[in-house]
Amino acid sequence: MKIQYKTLLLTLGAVAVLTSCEKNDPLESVVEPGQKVPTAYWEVGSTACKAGESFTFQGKYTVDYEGASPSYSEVWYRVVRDESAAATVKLGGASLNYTKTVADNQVMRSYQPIARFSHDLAEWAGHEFQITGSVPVSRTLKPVNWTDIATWDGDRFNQYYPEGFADEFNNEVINLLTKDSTYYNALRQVYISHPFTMEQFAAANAKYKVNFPTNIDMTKEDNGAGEKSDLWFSTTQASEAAIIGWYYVTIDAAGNKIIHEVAKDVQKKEGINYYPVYDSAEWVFCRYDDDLGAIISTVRSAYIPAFKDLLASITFDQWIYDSANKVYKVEFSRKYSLDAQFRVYDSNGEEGIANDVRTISIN
Amino acid sequence: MNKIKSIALAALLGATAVSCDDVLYENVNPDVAHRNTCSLGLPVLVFYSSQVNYDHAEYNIYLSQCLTTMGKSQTGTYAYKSGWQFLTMNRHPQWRRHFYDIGVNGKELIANAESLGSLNYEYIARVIRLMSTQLTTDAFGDMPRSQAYESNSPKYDTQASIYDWMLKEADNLTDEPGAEDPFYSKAVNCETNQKIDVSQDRVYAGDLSKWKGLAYAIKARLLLRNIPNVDRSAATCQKIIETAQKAIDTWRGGDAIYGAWFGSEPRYNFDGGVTEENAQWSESQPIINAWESRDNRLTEAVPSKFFMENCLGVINQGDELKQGFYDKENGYGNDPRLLLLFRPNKGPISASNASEKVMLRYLENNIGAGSTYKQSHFPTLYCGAYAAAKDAYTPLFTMEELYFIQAEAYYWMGNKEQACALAKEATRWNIQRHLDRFQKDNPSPTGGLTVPTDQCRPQGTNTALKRWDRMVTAFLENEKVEKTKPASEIGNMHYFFNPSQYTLSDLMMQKYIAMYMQPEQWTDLRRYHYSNNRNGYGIGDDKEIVYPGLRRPYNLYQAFWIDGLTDAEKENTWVQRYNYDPETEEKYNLAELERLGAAKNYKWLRKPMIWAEDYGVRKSLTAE
Repeated sequence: MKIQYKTLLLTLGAVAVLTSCEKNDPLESVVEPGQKVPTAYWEVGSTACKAGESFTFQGKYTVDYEGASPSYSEVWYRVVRDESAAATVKLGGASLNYTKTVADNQVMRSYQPIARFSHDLAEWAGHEFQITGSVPVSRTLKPVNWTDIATWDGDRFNQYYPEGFADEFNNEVINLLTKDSTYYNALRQVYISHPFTMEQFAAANAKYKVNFPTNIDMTKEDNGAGEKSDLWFSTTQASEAAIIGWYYVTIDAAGNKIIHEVAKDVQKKEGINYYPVYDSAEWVFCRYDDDLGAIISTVRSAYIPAFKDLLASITFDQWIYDSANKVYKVEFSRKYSLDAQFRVYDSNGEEGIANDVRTISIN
Repeated sequence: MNKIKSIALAALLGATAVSCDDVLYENVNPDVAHRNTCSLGLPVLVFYSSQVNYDHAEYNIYLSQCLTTMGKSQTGTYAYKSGWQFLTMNRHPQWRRHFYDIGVNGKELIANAESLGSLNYEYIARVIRLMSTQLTTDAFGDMPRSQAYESNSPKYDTQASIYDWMLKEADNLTDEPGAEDPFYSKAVNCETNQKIDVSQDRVYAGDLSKWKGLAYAIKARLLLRNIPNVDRSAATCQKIIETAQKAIDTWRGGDAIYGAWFGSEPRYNFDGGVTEENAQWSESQPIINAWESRDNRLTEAVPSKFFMENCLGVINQGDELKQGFYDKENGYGNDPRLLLLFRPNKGPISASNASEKVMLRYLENNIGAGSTYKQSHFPTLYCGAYAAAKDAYTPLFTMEELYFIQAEAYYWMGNKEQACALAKEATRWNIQRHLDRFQKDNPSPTGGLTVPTDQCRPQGTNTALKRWDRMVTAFLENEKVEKTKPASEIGNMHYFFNPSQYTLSDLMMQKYIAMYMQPEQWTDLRRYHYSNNRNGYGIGDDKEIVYPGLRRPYNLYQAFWIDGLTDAEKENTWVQRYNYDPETEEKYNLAELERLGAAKNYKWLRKPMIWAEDYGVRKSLTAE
């Protein structure tokens, strides 16, 4: 056997010996990897602290190696800001449940030494040094809450909420109300409870060739809500008397459902299933749906662009006004927290950091 | 020598390196059995033979539109009772039951029986495997058989090839002339057979001659799949009749366990006790091994309008304020089983009338109950032969089904009178089956017989007994007896047993009722294309409508069952199969699902079984 093979075999065997068992680690007993630094551990008195006050801690450390002694310790922390801004639509009543929320989490200030404690202040506890102290927290870190406000304050809204929030909110609400029949009841509620003017209805009629009533008495105490509620009606109980026409369904080449509405006295053709159309407001298509086994109401497609125009005139603060509780449904919160570290230095200037980062929320 | 020394030294070093105390051995749990014996394996298999029947029946009773719930959702955990959105379900217990509980245990039992030389065990295992294969393929279609257990991703066999195997296996298990490998006599006459008692085989205590009856019965069921779509020839019908007769004769021969009529039909009898000791359909709602089973949710179920009005003929139907009331002379309608299968409860008379009264209430499928009603207003369903008590039984096959199999074959041979006579006899005894349970649970204080009266309360008076007989006669004979009106004058105004005007619908509607809580109920519906007066799917030369009054459930999952379909297409688009078990097949055998076109494909659910294709498409059940 050539000498290099012998060497290789012996080397492999030696490597196997050194690495084969966790309980038998000859490497650890013959070498000392790494630089020696102070060993540190700490605990804080509480994980919450009021802005403008201090939090307490107890630090423990040792310097158990030759050629150095403890010098001083420090508490460092960084400041983290959590912001959450939300608004909830209330104008559509309980059936429209939409809240837009944005959240932000940022490190506002990176790690900095906040307080230094001389080693003289520490006491020897038999096997380690122990030190107690307190660390100040700035009063500028006080949390901010702006929730369910009674008076609208546009300046504060702009200060707390990101740019474009209100426009995005409005567009999303309008889209929800008009994209399909999911929020039919909410749209009806908006029609009834929002004081649209007769001029707005007249303008929509002219622009889209539709026929909204324009003679609602808005001077009443309820701003015409009662009258509008009567005007937007539909049939809920099936009856012969309520049938005003029929419809049937075909499927086009692309698989889309096409609804054909016909008059009540139409001559029905063989082989076609006709289903009842029921009495309702002019902009409502009220019909029996055989797939659901129930009467359903939807807004007629010809009226959707007109509704979009009307809804676009509603401002952000009007959408979020909760008339029952007389508040605007905003919820902004800003709060800070500290990620704090305990560091110990020896006489050579070597730094030992406690593994445990303590998080302290500021209230 | 130097070379040898070096190698020896290196080997020694290597040995030192790995000879650590912490070497891990494969752990062996001393508390768990690693091998099984036949005497321990058989009880498990026989139990699962009842469970697999229940598993299928539990789904099928909703898919056949017999029961529904108070809900109306398109989606849900239980797609089979809501809007048929099967693709989000995470497990179908039927798959695991066949391939694991019955398949793996059966395979081991057969191997043990062979090595032990006790072929009676193998025989029972093979009969149960045959039944389970039939139930499983008739729910899923193509599935692993020839390559099952060879890997995690076996190739699926076609349903036709599985039918071919099942028919041959049935012949082997009954020693039919021409059988490839007759096994019955071999198993019975095996001299090294061990004794099997009732503690191992709760159905027949090891009596292979009675298990043979189940092999005949399954074969009759398989042959019936020829009708009406594959082979309606007189020869096939004759074969069906003869095979069913062999099952009947087998079970009525020797010691009949359950009386002269029911003979020794296979029943898995429960004792009542804890969990698995209770009947699956009973009030204790047992769940076998938690996640791998579904309990009966009869506490949330509601009878369907189709079942109550069109099939059973509930009284005063269509009159919102009177339907489902009790009539002293006619009970709750045409069919006396209305008093045996349900216990009506008190609740509002209608959605607009809050006055409370005891009524037999029901709903259209998946239409929703409305806020006026609570579950407690609908009838209690823990009634009848299978669901009444914890010590009820789950039949593996019923005598009535054999009669209806024969009746159907006679009907297609043109002998409608004989079909009618068989259906009537089967119905009479199906009523008796449920009455037996009622009387067992409600004994008369004086020791006599009882019958159900209003609110299904038992009475044993002469008046009550006579009135019951009148109701049965009015229903089966269409006779007016004293004040009891004939069937054609109350409820659905229909007499189901008129021999001179007997229809396919009369036959299949009565079979539907007799198959209450049995897997076959849904199979029949699929075989007859859910034929109803909305889809107009006429069967046979006379284009007969088989299930008048049946309609698709409301609130089906729109994307699968409504979008893009015309009214006519919708009426003919029904669920035809379960999707493959997502928990195993989509994870381990996706390639096979993709090959079949079944992977996450809702259209797969609409694909009919080989026996449910349109008439003329297929000439044989076994040809590819």
